[in-house]
Amino acid sequence: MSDCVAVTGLGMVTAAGNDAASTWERVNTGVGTARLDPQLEGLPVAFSCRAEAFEPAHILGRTLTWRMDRFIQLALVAARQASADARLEHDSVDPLRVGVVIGASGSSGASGAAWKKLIAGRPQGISPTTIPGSSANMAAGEVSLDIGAQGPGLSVNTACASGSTAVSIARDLLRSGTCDVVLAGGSDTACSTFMAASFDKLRALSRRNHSPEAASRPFDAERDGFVLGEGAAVLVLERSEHAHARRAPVHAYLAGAALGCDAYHSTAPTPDGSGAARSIRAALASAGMEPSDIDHVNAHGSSTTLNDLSEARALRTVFPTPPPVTANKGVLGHSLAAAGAIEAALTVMTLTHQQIPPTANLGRLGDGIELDVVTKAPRALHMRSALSTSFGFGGQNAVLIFTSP
Amino acid sequence: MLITTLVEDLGQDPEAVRPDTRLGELEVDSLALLELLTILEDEHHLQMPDDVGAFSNDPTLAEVADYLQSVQGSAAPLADAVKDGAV
Repeated sequence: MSDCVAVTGLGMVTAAGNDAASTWERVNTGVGTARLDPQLEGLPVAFSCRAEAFEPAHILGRTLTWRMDRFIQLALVAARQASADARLEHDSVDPLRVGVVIGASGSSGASGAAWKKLIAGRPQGISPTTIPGSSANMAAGEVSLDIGAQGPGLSVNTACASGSTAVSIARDLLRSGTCDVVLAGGSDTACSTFMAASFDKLRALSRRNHSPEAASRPFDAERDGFVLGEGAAVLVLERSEHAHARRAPVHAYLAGAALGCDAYHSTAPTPDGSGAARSIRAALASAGMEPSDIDHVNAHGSSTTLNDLSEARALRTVFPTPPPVTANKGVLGHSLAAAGAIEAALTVMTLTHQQIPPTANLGRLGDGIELDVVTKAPRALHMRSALSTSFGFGGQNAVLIFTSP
Repeated sequence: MLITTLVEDLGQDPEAVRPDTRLGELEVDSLALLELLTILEDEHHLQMPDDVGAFSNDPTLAEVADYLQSVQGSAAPLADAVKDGAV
């Protein structure tokens, strides 16, 4: 049985577009999607990167939409797109050997509605869908139900590394022989008053209310925090022999992956980037690669003061001369549990197009950030391999390595 | 009220919701049924049964309405209502 894992399908919904192609196009403009958000009006941070064009009822139908929270709707739509892209006809795939792994934080609007009913003294008015419509596990549960996947169904939460963690776990399920196909990704809706107010108390968010579009500025000297976003991405992964046997399109190979934990601080990364560096090295080892084999890094690049500096130091530690770097959060904001999956999908597309999207809003590199960050315009480059990093609260890290077919 | 809730809150097609339509035809499963009963109870102050077993025989909307009407102001257990031919 081959250990090689192929990416045969991509699906994506972001603030930049309702599918992978439109997201790719917008990301390559290098123009941020953040806007003043009427739902956050009156809060210290009143803007976000909301997927405004995503209207789930038009895609899923109203009878399915009402019973699930937006992060599950996003996951469902991304999964359907990915399945279609991979041509996953059910007659060619054993449903018992199809798994689903979705990164999800369960940052739910439904539970908020339930609390409002309780506070109003109307417990009888709490929707019966509060639990099944909002629990993090249902991101994977509803995707499995929707596509008929009867293999393992897992929702995972490693904060902002959840989407990448899901892809890494999917790789393990395939390499162990547990599954033939796994739909892996992440989904989240961070554009809520609860999230905005709570993250703001951590001083984690940009307060650039006067120019939201320029607020998410990874690695820039004037960065002041991340911007809340939302979205989902799902990748169809399968062992390459399985993909080849059914003549599926192969976008890229998932050559390596690693998970790790800083075990340093609940919210802050290691200042010297040593925790992230360990995970990057572990991913390289899992792929049987040397640092010099990596042609491009899709960085976590959250636009926070601490993370970007720590990540830059990690990359400088591992790579004597770091390859060109980009950070998609400049355009898309930070969609938390979805971000790693979205960036994984964009990394695959970077290899497909042999073009690195620019990092939005980067005028001057911050102190201590000694990286070749692509900015202003896309950069064409011959690339065989690319590495994507994701770092979450709890010190939870995930690193993925993709190679061209 | 029943039809309005099915259309406005549960997203049903108005054309498909008629008195002789069965719950199954609308794909109103157990979860959707509980949601329907919750909205009717919370927003329209109707008394709802704890036991929803009476709805397991795929009743028409007219039969649902008749049954809900029958339990208003009554503490009669559902089983009695079924025996009485209310469903």
